[in-house]
Amino acid sequence: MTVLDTRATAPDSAAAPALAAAARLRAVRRARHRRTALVCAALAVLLVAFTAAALLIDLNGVPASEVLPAALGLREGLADYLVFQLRMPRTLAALLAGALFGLAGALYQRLIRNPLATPDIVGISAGASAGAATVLLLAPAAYVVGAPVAAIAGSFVLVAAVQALSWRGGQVDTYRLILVGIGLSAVCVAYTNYLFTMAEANDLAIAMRWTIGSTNAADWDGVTTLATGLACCLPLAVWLNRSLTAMALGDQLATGLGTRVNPARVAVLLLGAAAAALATSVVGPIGFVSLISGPIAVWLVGAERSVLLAAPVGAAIVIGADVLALHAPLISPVPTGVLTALLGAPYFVWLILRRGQGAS
Amino acid sequence: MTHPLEARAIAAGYGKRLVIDGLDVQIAAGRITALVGPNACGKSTLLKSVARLLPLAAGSVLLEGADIHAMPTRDVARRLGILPQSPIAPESITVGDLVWRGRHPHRRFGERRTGKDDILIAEALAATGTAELVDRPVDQLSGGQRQRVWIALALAQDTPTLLLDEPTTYLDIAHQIEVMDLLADLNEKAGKTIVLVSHDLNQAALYASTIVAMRDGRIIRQGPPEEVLDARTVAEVFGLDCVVVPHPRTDRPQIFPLGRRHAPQENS
Ligand SMILES: Nc1ncnc2c1ncn2[C@@H]1O[C@H](COP(=O)(O)OP(=O)(O)OP(=O)(O)O)[C@@H](O)[C@H]1O
Ligand SMILES: [Mg+2]
Repeated sequence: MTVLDTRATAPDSAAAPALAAAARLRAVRRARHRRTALVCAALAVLLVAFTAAALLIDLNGVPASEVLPAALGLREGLADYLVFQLRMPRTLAALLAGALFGLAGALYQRLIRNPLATPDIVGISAGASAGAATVLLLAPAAYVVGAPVAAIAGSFVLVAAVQALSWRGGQVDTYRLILVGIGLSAVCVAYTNYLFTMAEANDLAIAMRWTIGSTNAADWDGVTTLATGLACCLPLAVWLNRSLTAMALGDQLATGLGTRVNPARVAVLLLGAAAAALATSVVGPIGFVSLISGPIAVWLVGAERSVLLAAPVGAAIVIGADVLALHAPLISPVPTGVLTALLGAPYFVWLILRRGQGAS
Repeated sequence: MTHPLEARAIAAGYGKRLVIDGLDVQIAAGRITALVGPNACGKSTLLKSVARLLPLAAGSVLLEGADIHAMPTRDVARRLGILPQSPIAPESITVGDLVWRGRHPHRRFGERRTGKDDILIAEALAATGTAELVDRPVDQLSGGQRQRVWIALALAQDTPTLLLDEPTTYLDIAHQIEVMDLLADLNEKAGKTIVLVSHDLNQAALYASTIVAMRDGRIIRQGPPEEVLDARTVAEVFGLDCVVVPHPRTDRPQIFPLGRRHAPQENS
């Protein structure tokens, strides 16, 4: 079609506004691509910087030039112990678990269309903790594979229970979902604490991560679990994001646009639960990461692309919090979960207060 | 000839309560069909159940001759578009992004939005007179602007059959006629089959070639406006007295209702 010729020919009353609108849409689309690229680049820089900080700060005499070879497992002695055995798994666990938490939270927030409805708030992380702690304390030998599996099982039980209890008139009532989640969460925490009373001192030190969430106890086995989990969850999330985009218009319109709404909903619920559970099985329920990653991602690139971006955002939050938890003056060392809670809890309170004032 | 859409002895409702039960209807190809009837008689329920938004308790729906429930839902969405009665827009979505959703069934996995999509969206917007709203958030539009944007979404879906539940509610009289003209154009030029629910019997008579009149979940009468829209049917379906006169230009029947105040003097 000829774009600039509208004056020469008789001005077609329908074509001119259409061309202007198409030009506008193209400009907006390109601006968004640029913004997404910029945001991704900025996040990459941030992640590299935090990772470097996590590995390099406070080296106890290991020269900085030795860190990279040691991180790849090429050195022995103190450098190997400090960098390869301690810092690398901890750093990678922080990055990977953060990505899984971010992904899980964004999936739930988009599905349920409520910023409060994340796996940790609706009790799913607590179910995962209970599952993982059960395996550690009752069958420690099966721990490496058993804990993630039990965590996923625990999270699925919680998903089913929370859904069943918040079902009302053929639909999930969001308000009930959150209250029921908080209630069931308390039950799981009580159960986990009860397990601790029977634990031996040695196991207890490891198991404590399932109360507050910490990267302290992360080892290479944990990193393998997390990396496998993320490699499975990310492609599934990309695939489901398409359905989520249609489902943002409501079930009826989404069905009309060719989405299988119910299977997609179940898939998103289970995927989000599994992602949060895998992360929890290694680093415990690091609080509020899944709550804040999604909204930050929406703010950065808009809702449609936010689910995937929430993964690097979550990773940046946890690794950043981890560096602070280890090295911040006055408070350090504290569990990572304490820092994310300091960050997330005020936002959580603000969300609730804002809801209270609003019309809903 | 197969009908684009056909319901055979369908039953549907909410929970255990059936709103329609044992209903048959055939939609004529390339025509505009208007579904009329009093509030709560089951018009939206019928529309939703033939568009597979509501599960059937019994019976079957055929889309272009094939069982709609046996087809992949995306294939259905490329042939049948439906605009429900009160759709909800996601928070702070822009008009352009909302209408872009209409392209959903045509996109393959991983396919990105291109300049061609922009043009299709813009054309749908221009057809409904909303092109200049393209950047505005949907939740800041007036009721009528919003309604036209939703129609643009249904147009962007570009299906041969289009079901619209009260597309002209909220619109002023000029925009009502504009939308009806647009639908008539789509029907005439692109050969689209259109089914719409309307509370305006006169517009239904002017634009539709078939009127389906419902009451209490059943079809009372159906056929061309000239045959269906008479004082007896209006009384039977709506419980309303009226005079019917031919439209001065088109001869289609037009309804003049007679309320309690007008009936005794003029009708006896
Ligand atoms: N989601 C729902 N859950 C339960 N009952 C419903 C639901 N939607 C409609 N109904 C009931 O089904 C019956 C038919 O409703 P329907 O929406 O089909 O009426 P309608 O003819 O479209 O009316 P209107 O002209 O007011 O849009 C009504 O009695 C209504 O109360
Ligand atoms: Mg209705």
